[in-house]
Amino acid sequence: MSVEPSQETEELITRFLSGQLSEEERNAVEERFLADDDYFAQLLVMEDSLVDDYVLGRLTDEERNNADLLFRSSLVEKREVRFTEDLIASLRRAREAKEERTRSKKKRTLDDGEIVIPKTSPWLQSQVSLNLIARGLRGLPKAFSATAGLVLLLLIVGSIYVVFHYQRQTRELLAQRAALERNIQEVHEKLSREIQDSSELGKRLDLENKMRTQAEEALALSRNREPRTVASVILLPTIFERGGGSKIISLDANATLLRLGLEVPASPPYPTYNVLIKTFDGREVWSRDSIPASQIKQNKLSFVLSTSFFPYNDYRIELLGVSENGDSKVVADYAFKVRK
Amino acid sequence: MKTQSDSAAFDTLLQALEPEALSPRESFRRFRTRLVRLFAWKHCEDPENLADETISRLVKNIQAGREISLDHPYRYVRVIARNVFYEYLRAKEKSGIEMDVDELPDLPAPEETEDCWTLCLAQLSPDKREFLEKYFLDSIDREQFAREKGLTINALRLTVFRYKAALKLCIENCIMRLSKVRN
Repeated sequence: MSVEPSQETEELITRFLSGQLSEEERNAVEERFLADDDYFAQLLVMEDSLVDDYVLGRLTDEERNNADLLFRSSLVEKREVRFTEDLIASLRRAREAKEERTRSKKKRTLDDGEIVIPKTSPWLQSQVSLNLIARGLRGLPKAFSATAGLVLLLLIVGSIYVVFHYQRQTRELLAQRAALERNIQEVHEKLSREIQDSSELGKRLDLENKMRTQAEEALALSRNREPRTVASVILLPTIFERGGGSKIISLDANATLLRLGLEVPASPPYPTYNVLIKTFDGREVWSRDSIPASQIKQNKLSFVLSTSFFPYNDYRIELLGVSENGDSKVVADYAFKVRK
Repeated sequence: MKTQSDSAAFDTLLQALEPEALSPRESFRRFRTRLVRLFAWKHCEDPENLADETISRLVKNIQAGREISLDHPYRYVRVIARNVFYEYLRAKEKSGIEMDVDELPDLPAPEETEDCWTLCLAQLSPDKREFLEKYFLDSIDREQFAREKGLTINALRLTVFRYKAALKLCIENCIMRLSKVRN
């Protein structure tokens, strides 16, 4: 509606709705509201206001009788009245619910007299606060208070359990970690010691080998101060055939030393070598490990051994190359026969 | 009009009847509301049925090729509505039966729409809800209430009408949704 209706129009509409117009006036109003949107809207608004007054009981008896005729004449008008009645009932319900909420809230709200008074001791303030909390809890419905209390208790117990459990787990983990660190440290120390020992052992072994070789040679030499007879033989790598292909060494009674020269294949070179002399039936006669490659001169590895090691028999020699990682591999085989 | 199809001719008439409507559907709704009110304000028991009868006759006339002046279309409509009304009165007089509005099909029980009311009132802004509460629940004279709100009486009536119209739409939709769910 764009324009405020005049008082005259309002009165005309009121009379129209109340059924108080002449046939001619009525036709004029009907013709106008059918064609005029604003006029029709004004009629609807006035009728709605009349419904409000009707429902709220604000009409005089005469007005009410006229309104009765209109509002009880059709389902459409009945709906309008019913809608307003429902609206009022719903508003009343909503207001009552709101007031109830406010009352409940007020119950739980602190009274002015119970608010902590300034300049009181902290102990008193705490006491008052606790009283107020207790009063607030008492103000709640009993079932709610009991449930809330139970939930609160469960929460507290749960929290304490979680804290203790966590602390215990933390302590255990820290102890485990410390033990592990100690173990690691011990393993490190042990390893270092073993590496050192191993290194020293290796050196000592080398030294002992050298000393042994020297001692054997010295022993061999010392046993016969007299002019010695040294039998020498150079052995080439061979393929074993018992009774055939082996070099025959004839040791006479004067021969006290036997110089064995093994021809070492050129490749591949190894840092150290092992030599094992045994009979063909597997009895070990003599061996030496960790012979440094530096002892190989002109592709030959030589030993001077006492002839007492070699009675009449057939012998085989295994030359093994030892790599840096300790793996050993047969480099060459040699064979010889001692005949006295 | 004879050169147009019946449907197009009816749409043209609706547009002439409700020039401010945004669509033929909106034109029809507004036109029908006006007719329903016309019969309701004549104290007819079933104004919706009479409005539909009027529209039906209008469509038949268009289908029959009757020319309708688009300068004053409501005059033509009013003539048809008046005929329908007189026929209704004659039939009523003939039957001798006075219809009691209380015997007409009832509206949904209040408890059935209670949830919808709660929902729709909650959707109103707090100031509108407070406005309606004060208007309907506090025993304040309408003039005094209008003065308090700084409104004219007519502006107050219009404001209440608009709030109620919004609620009415909300309630109708809610009831429709509820009945769909129940069915």
